[in-house]
Amino acid sequence: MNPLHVRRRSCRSLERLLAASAHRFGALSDARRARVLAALLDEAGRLGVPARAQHLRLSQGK
Amino acid sequence: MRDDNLDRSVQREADHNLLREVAQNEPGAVERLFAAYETTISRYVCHTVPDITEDDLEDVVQETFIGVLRSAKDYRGDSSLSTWILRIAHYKAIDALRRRKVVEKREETIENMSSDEVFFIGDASADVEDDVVNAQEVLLIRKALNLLPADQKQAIILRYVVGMRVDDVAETMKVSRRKAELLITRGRAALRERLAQLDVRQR
Repeated sequence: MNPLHVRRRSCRSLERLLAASAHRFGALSDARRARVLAALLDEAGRLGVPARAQHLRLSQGK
Repeated sequence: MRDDNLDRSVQREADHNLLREVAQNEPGAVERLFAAYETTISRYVCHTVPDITEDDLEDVVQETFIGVLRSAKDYRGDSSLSTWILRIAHYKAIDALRRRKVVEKREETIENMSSDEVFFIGDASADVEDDVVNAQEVLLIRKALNLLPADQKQAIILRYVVGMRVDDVAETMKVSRRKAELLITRGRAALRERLAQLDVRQR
């Protein structure tokens, strides 16, 4: 008898297996996370500067 | 139920404010958005694209966030932010699948993956579930998940991997609540069946 089979049938719900899979997968390393965030800040800077300038102009009644 | 609706309303207002701040490039807004949604997006993409590499995952997460930034000014708060973001993530994940043409060969790839390879994207420090699930079990569940029809697979990922409520699953998939419930119910049954079949084949 496969021990995995016994374990799953006896005490592991499908939800727990899926939750465990979620817990194990989908984590970017710290280095990759930092790289993505840096790229986003760069992009936000490019996109956001005009929007912010316009917002300030409007709020200052210009 | 009223409290529930109130919570959702408050959450949507907070979401709307965050996106407005992102659109205006307010200090700290992008960082808050990233901190709030990076894990959710990564998990969703990882389970949608079964054999995704770390490089591709990084690309898809980045493309998703850039899509969010570019569309932030258009967000009206008609749906929850997580729903809105995961719709973008879904399209980016599907794009990644198409680009790499993994749809045709994904079964073969998963079949040939060792447990060690399966874990390269995992969180090495995550040991909360270590006592209940080992590498082979996770491999099996991922394998079984990717044998489901696409809509059932998406519903199961949103409900149990991302942890969405059924209402939000329905909203993300643009189906009725009843249809979402049906997809989840059928998906669970199909997943159990696939797991049983895979288990038998392993012996």
